[in-house]
Amino acid sequence: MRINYLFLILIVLVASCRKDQTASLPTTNGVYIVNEGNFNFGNGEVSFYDPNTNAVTNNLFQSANGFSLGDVGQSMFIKDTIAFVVVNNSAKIEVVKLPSFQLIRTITINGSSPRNILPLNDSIAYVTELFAKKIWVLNYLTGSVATTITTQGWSENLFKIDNDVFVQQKINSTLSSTFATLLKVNTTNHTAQYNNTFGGRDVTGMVKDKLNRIWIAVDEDTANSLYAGFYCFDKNLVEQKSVFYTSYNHHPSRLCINSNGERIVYADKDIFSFTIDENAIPAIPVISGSGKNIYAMDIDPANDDIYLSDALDFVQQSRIYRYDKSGTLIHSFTAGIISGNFAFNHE
Amino acid sequence: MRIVFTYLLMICFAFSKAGTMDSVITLPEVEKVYKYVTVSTQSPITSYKFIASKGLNEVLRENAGLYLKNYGNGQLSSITIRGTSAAQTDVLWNGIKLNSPSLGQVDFSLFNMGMGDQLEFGGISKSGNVGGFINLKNDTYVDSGFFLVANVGFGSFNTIRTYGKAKYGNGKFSGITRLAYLSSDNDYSYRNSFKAGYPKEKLTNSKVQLLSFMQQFNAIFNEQNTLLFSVWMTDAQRQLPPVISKTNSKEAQSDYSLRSGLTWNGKFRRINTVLSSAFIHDFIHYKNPEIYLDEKSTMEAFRNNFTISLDSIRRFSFSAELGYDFESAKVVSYRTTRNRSIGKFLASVKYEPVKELLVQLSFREHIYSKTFSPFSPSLAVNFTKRFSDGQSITTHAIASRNFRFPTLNDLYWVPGGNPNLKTEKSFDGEVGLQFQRTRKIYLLFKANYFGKYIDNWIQWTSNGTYWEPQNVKRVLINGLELSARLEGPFRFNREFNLALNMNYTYTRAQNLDALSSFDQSKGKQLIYVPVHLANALLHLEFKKYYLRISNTYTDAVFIATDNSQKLKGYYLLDLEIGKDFIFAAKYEMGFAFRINNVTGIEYQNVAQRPMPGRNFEGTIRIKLG
Repeated sequence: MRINYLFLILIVLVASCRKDQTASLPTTNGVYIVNEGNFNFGNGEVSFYDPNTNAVTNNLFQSANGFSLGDVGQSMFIKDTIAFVVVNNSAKIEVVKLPSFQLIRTITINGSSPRNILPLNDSIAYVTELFAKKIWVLNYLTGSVATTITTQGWSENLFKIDNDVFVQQKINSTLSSTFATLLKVNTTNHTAQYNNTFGGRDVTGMVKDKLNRIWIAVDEDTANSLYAGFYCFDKNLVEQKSVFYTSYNHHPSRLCINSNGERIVYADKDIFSFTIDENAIPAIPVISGSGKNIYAMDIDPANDDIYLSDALDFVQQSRIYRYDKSGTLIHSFTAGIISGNFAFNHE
Repeated sequence: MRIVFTYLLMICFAFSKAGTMDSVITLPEVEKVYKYVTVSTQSPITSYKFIASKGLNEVLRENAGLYLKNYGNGQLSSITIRGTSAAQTDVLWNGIKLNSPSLGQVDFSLFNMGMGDQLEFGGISKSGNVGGFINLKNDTYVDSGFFLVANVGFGSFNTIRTYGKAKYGNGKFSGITRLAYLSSDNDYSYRNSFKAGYPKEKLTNSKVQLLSFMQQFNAIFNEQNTLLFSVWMTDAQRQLPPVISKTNSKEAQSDYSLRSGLTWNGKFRRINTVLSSAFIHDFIHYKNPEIYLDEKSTMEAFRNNFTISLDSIRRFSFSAELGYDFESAKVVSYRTTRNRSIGKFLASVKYEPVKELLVQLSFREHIYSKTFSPFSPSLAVNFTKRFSDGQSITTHAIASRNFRFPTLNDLYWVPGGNPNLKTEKSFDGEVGLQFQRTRKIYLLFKANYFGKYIDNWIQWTSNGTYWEPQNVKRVLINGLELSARLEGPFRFNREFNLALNMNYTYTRAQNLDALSSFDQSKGKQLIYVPVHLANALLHLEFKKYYLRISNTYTDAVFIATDNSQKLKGYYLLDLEIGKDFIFAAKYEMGFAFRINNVTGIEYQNVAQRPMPGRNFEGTIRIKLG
C-alpha cells in the first residue's frame, strides 16, 4: 500500500500543581512546633498552635520568608522576642523575630550537624552537635564561631545552672566502646568536665528540678546486664539518688518536668510520671501510648499541659496531642512531618 | 511470513525463560534481534549507535518509558517498575541476579547500556521477587571476522563519554571486548530554594568517573555444545554532592564490581540443558570526613543454575531448574560477616493444544536457612491469531504468586536489623492485547492491564530510638501500560524515513493499611510512584542526516505518604541531530550533536537533588567491519 501522508504525534502534558495557601502568621502566645521533615527531603518547617483558639498555622518559616527552612528542623529556643531555629542537616541556625517569624540572620556553621542551642547572654550561645565531637560557642550577633568545646561524641540537650551548663552526651550506638556521659561546662572559660557512671547505657533525657538537681534517664544495656532507670545528681555531679527498673525491655525517654520542677514525665511506650520525692518507678501510666509512635513530648510551663507528637509512619504529617496534667485529652491536631520539638512562648 | 515466524519464536523464548510471556518486552537493540521485529535493516529507535555509550538509566527512561529515581547526573539511580521498590526489582545480567545481597538493589548509573546487546524488562519477576525485572543480555558472536565500533563524546560540565566494542572470531571461537568510560565535573547550575531570592548556584562536590570493561569469550564446539565466559569490571569514583539546603559536602564513594559468569548450553535430541555459574563481587568505600565516617563494605554472591528442558512431546514441553546461591556481606554495621545460602527450584510445563494457543504452568520454591518461600505457582495463557496480510493479534493472561526474602541489611544491620522479618508476598495478574503489522511498514500496538497485591511489605520505621525494618503494610497496585511503535520506510522524497515509539503508563499504587485512626496514608499513592508516565521518541531521516526528538513526561510524585507534599511533574525535551558517512561497505563515520533538556526546565527527580538544565553533547562515531 502506498503511503501518501505523514503524521507526527506530539505529547503535550501539562503538570499542574495547587498553589500553597499563604498562612496567616500568629500574633499571640502559644506553642511552636518544630517539624524535622525527612532527612534529605528538605521539608523541615515550624508550626504554631494557639491553645486558646486551637488554631494551627503550618509552614511558618516559608510563609514569613518566602523560602524553605531547610533539612531536618531540629529544635527552637525562644529568647525574648527572637527565636533560634536549629536546622540540623543544613548546618545552620535561622534567627527570626517573633511573632512575625521574619528572618534576622542565618548563622551557618560549616562542618556542623547542630542539635540544640542555649544562649548564655546577649551575644554568646552554646550549640550542641551530632558528629563533630565539639560544642560550638557562637557569637549569635555576628554569626561567627567564637570557640569550640571538645566533647566525646554526640551532645544533645543542655541547660544552665548558675555559671555552669550541663550537657547530655549520648552514646553512639554503633560504637560500643563509647560511653554516655553528663558534661559540665564552665561558661567562664568554656572548659568541660564529665562524669562516667552509666556503663554502656545511653542517656535518653535530661531535666533539672526545683532544687537545681539534674535528672537523667538512661536506657538499658543488656550486654552489661544493666537495667534502664533514672539518676539524680547535684550541680557538682554528685549522685543524689537513682532508681531502676527490675526487668529488661524498658526504654524511658522524652524526659520533661512540670513548671514548678516537682513532677517528672517520661515515655516508655506509655507516658508515666513521678515526683522528685518518690523512690520507685511508677507502674500506672498517666497517658496510654497505644497506637502512637511517640516522637516528642514537652510540658507547657504556663499550665502544665502535656504535648505529645505522634510521628505515625514518619513520612506523613504528625498528629499532636494536648493533655492536661492529669492525662486527660484536651485536643489533637495535625502539624508537619516528624514533629520533634516544642517551644512555648508566654510573654 | 518469515517475520511473523521469527517473532513467534521470540514469544516462545519469552515463555520458556520467563514464564510471563508478553510481560517481557524486548528492547531490541541490535543487528540480530532487531531484524525480527522490523523490516528495515537497522532500527532507528534503538540502534546501537544511539544508545551504546549511554547509562542504562538514560536508555530506560528515553526508550522504554520507565521511571527511575535519579539523585543527580551520574549519582545513585534506582528503578521503580509498576510501583514497586528498587529492592523488589530483579536486575539480571544474562539471567544472573545482580542485586546486592545487603541492599537488595543496584545503582543503574553504574551500568552502561553498551555492556549488553539486548535489554528485556517486565512487570513480573523472572527469578523470585515481588516486583519486575530488567535483564541485560549479551549476544554470542557466531560469525568470523573483525568488527569494531567506537564513540567519543564531549559535552557540557567537562563531560567525556567514550565507548568501544570489538568483535572477532573464526566461526567456532570468538570474543567480544567492550570498554566504556565516563567522566564529568557535573558542576551545573540550579536555583537554591532554601535561600532568599532563590539564587543560582553551582553544584559542588559532584565529579563522577566511571570505567567499565567486559570481556566475553564464546566457544561453539559443535551444534550441540556451546560455552560462554564473561567477565565484567566496573570502577566508579564519585563525589556525592550535598542536598541543596546544605552548603557543602565532602562525601565520596568508590564502587568497584567484578562479575564473571560461565554458561554451557547443551542439546541432546529433544533435551536442552543450560548450566551456569557466576561470581559477583561488589566493594563500596564510603567516606565522609565531616562525620568521621570511612566505611568499607564487601558483598559477594556465588550463583549457580542448572536447567533441563524437554521439547514437543504430544504438544507438551517440560522444564526444570535447580539453583543454589551463596551470599556473603562484610559490612561494618553488621559487626561480623553475614552469609546465607538460598536453594531454588522451578518446574514448568507448556501445552500447545492448537497452534494459536499456548498454556504454561510453573511452580517455584526457594529456601534459605529454615525459611521456605511461599508456594509460588504461575499460570500463563497466550492466544495469537495470524492473518495472511502480515497482521496478527495476540492476547495473553497471567496469574502468579511471588515473594521476596529480606535483604541482609534488613536482617542484620545494627542497630535495627530484624531477624524475625517475614517474607514479602505478592499476587500478580496481567491481561494484554497486542496488534502487530509487519508488511511494508512496521506497526505495533500493545496494551496491558496489570494488578499486584503485596503483603508483608518491608519498611524501615523508627521505634523512637533507632530505625528498624518491619512488615508494616499491604499494598495494592494496578495500572495500564500502552505502547505503540511505527517504523518506515516512508519514501516520499528520495530517502526520507521516520520511526516513532511511544509509551504511556498509568500506575495506581496505594497503601491499604493505617497505623492508627489518624494515619492518613491509607488509600494514598505510594511515595515516588508517578501516576502518569509518558514518552515519545521520534526519529526522522533524510539521506544520511537524522533528527531525533525525545519527549518525556513524568507526573508529580508524592514525597509524603499522606500525599501532603510532592515534587512537581516535568516535561523533558531532548534533540539530537547527526550525519553518517559511509566510505566503503565496511567503514562508517558519524557525527552527532545533542541538546539535552532543550527547554532548560528546572526539575528535581528526587527531593533536593537538582538535575541539569540545558546542556550539550557532541559525538564522533566510527564503525569498522
